[in-house]
Amino acid sequence: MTRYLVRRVLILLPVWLAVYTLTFTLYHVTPGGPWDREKPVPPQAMAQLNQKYGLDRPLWQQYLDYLAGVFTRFDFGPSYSRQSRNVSEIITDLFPVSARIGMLAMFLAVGLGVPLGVVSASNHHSIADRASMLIAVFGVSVPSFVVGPILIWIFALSLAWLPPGGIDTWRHHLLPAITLSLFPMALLARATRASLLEVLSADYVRTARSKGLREALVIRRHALRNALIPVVTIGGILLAEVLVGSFYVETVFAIPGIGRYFVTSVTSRDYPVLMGITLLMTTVVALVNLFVDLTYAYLDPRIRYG
Amino acid sequence: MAENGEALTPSPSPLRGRGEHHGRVAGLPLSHGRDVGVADVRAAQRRGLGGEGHPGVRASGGEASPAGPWQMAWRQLRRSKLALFGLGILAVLLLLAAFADLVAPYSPTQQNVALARRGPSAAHLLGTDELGRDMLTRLIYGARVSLSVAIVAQIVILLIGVPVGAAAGYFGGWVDTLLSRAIDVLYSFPDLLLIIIVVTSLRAALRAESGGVLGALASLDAALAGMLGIFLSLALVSWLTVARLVRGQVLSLKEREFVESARASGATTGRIVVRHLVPNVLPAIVVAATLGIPRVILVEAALSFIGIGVQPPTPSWGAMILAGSTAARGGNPHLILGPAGALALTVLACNIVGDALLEAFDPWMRRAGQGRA
Amino acid sequence: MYRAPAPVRSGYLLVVSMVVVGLLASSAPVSASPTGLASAGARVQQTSVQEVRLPGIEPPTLDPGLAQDIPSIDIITQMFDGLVALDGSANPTGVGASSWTISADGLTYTFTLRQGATWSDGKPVTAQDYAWAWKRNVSPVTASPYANAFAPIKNGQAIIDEKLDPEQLGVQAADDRTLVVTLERPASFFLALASTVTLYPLRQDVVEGYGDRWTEAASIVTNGPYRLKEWQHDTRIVLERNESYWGPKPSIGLATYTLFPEDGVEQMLAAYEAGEIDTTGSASGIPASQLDRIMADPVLSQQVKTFKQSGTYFFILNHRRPHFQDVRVRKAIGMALNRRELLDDVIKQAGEPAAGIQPEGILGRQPAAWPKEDAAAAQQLMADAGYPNGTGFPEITLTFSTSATNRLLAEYTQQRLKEILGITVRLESMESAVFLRWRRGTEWEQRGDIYRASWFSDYEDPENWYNHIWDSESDPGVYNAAWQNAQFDGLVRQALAETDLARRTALYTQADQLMAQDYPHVPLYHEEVRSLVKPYLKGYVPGRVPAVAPLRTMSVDPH
Repeated sequence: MTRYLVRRVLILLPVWLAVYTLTFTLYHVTPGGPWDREKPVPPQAMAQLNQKYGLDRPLWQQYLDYLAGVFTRFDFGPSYSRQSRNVSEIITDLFPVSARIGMLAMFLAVGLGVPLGVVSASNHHSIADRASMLIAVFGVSVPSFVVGPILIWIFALSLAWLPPGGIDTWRHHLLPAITLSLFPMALLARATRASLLEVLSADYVRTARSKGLREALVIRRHALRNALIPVVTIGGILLAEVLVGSFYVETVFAIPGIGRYFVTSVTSRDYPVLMGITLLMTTVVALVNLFVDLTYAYLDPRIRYG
Repeated sequence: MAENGEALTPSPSPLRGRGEHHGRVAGLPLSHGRDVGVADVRAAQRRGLGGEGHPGVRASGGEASPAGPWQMAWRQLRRSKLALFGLGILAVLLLLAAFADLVAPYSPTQQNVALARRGPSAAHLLGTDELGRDMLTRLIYGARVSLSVAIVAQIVILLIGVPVGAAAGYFGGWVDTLLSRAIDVLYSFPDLLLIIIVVTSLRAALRAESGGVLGALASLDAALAGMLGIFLSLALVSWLTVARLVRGQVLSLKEREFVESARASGATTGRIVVRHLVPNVLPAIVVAATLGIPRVILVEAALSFIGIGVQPPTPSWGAMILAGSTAARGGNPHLILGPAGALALTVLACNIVGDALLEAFDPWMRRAGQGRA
Repeated sequence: MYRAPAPVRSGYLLVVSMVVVGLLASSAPVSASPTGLASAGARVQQTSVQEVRLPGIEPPTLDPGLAQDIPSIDIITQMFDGLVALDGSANPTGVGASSWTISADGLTYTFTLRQGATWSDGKPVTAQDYAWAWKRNVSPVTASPYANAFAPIKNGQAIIDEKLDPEQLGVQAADDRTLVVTLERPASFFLALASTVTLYPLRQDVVEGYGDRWTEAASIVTNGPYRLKEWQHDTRIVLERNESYWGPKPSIGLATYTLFPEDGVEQMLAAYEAGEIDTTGSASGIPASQLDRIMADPVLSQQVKTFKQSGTYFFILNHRRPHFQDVRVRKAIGMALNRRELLDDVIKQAGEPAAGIQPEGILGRQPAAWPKEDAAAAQQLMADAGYPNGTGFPEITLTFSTSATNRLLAEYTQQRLKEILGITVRLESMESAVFLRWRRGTEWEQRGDIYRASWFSDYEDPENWYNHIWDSESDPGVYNAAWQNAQFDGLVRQALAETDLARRTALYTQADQLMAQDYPHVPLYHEEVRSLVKPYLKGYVPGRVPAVAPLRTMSVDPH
């Protein structure tokens, strides 16, 4: 198992390098730079800023220098748009915020979505099935920047039960997590339903039924575990997404998270922050994939990693 | 086939499967549109339970290729009232979009500031927007933009994803490794960055041009209200999903008897792929495409949030949703109900049709997977 | 039924719970400040200290030498003092300096620093602090975007051009409390310049000691009526009253700025309505989508206040384009618009329809001299220019950076110009970073027609408008419009060198009239911000320049 884990981590290195190179290239191809403002910046100031941050060096040199900084000093550089901070600090401050809300959203999504899917599949073609799938469709089709303001309107402004934004107390986490969870919840419900339906019509399930077992027991003992496997797949993808934060949810609820910061770094061309967060995302995806693979081992005895 | 140095598992790749990641990860605005399709669930299912190497599989002897999935599907579909309803809605939407000029009561750019932000009335059935333009008209013309973006993007996605996935699945070996690794890297890459870059660079490049290829592209872009870049970038970030799906399907199908016999009878690789593999892969793809269409519309809305949406004054559902996102609290709910309702309806219709197609193809698919006639 | 072997199960659970606990426990969000303890809406008012809760945006920097954005300048002006400040009528009053003298030739300014002015760590503010700060800010190594503020000072421009060492800057500390400044040539606007943050004093030991991070709460040293107590990045900034400040003690003891995303108007409004902040601020105002509801609300409508700012929005016309050479065309475009309708009905922003470009408070402005809105007259002008009903006029492109307001403005303009003048306008919205780069480049120069722009005064002196942005020599680095009027240039350069106020005013007045006749660009509206202020928050008075409300004047009634 250890060897397997080590191998999985080592594979990250070429992936990081590829992502770094791709990001670097794309960044320098895009028009626009970090210093332009509505109030025109004098050309000399522009040149001086480029010099101060080393942007006037040849591209290959910038490429290598940054790489060297990352590997030897874990230095991801200063932020161009936040001049007293460096990228590592920014990420260390903001990522846990996004991750907290993301995890809460996932708990909600799994806790409500999967059972909904199970209920749907167990009562295929019934009213409950249709209704829950309808709900799922709406969860998928209404964007978070529409749901968010409506939830704020109802719970923060009209009822004054919850705060409209920020992340100070546990109460502040609720509305953003709920908003963020709707899409994954709907998806997981659909996926669970589809998967369970598939499994319920398989041979060995029919065998179990013909043995006279109650339907609920059939589902719980035989069908569910196998049905969950593709759901875990999808859950893993969703988890990686919500952990790195949603720009929309973080903007609507004024949450200082990495999702919002990433988009800002792209629009303000804050290259080091962009690179740092991109590499962070790559890592999160890889770790979540690893987690998902381990979950398979947990669920299915045939899987062994060596 | 553990060329990736990963787990040694009974299936060609772990149950998670390289083929089952329908959605792109690590892209923020697109988390809306990541419609992880039911098709992948099925594929994952098949891989784990009835895939290659599983003792339960029995080959159907000597089939050239399983007969008429399309005919069977159509028969199934026709029987389901719900599916017909969904198809009906889609047809109406497409017709409205196509014949917008004939159907819409006003011009989409006709402003009447004195009547701005009014609710539904006799003259304006769905009310007016911030410039006094008729909402119903803008929704109808918006259908044009939104639906065409969605459909064209899906087509491009298929055009890239299917060949790549098929190649990876069929040839295996280093081709598969290369493509799979490339897909992995691109998967971890944040979509938003790619989209912003493609859209802004393309717009910058096209702005300058007057003649030649770029000039033609520029005219195309103008005709599409600035959406060419969005089509391309969406396709670029989403083809991975389809590629993986196709790869998964091809992997599980390529050892089938009918392929063996085709090979034995001397068919070329190309012929095998085109005549035998692709038609059997297509159902899953069609379903994925159907379910992916509403996703694109949402992405377009999300991009408008950041500032890279359709060029004004062309209406699009996404831009209208964004503009109306806080309108409800401001006392003008019609500004959001219209476009959000249109989108929800489209999503609903696409999902109904997609699900119905899945169920229609399913008996055939399951038969092919388990090799029973 | 299959169950995973115990070791696998427990190992798995252990890892999962570690991760979950780790994430939940990391960077505990509950802060020490009162906001963190608030349940939704209800606020516990500290009994002994007057506290105000304001909205803000994360400042890119709190270094006065590097600041260029309003969020930065807002906090900096609360925490730091400069030599002088401009009052409501743009007259300089001594703050850091108790008095000053100007030599007869207008080249030498001698400032006497205020007795008893200290830094927040107790050390006195000395002339060396000013001299060092200015040399450090003009230095190319510092790369300050406002280095050109030192151009009027002797050797300033040469230093910016990297021809001289920063030490050569014409400023020196004659002794601890005397600062002597030598200018290149007489500049009436120098005192206005001295009120800007780029010329604030700095502590050499702190800045050099802590480097880029000297502005963090732990290390920063300030000399103003408030000091930085806490800076939780992207979350909040807390300022507390500086008890050792030399000046009158302000009422507000504690100011908490809750930080919102950029363009976070909706979020600020929601926080205001939930009772978490005391005003929606002086920068953003009320979102267009909520304006009608608020104005119809009996309670909220009473809390609306409008603040004027020294800034104007306008369309920049590309004078390289043949179709814009005729002044009648330019005037027609400006006269065809209905600015009141635009502001009230379309974009729903506060603002004063602009006849001329220079806003209120800028000497020499003559709004009456500029053409008035008149659709019929505009049509006539177009016909006179050879484009009756727009026939023969090429399609022009209106470019702007993407935002909801800009989009509506552009769509309205497009329609209006079509209706009234018959000219076809194509709209082009660009991502902000791309737009800002594009307008300096050859693409704009060769093919661009119109773009939407704005200018906000750095200081309320006519130099900041007539010379700084409209002089044809500075144009390439500013709006790149290629408008050239030799007479105008002559007038404003003369005014620049003029020290007598009456003569200066006369020259700038002539210049403005000339600009009105030549109509190089299309004024849209002067900036105003319509904001909500709680009735218990008194003395919330944002200035025109910079558009920030000093904490000094505020007080909070019990509520």
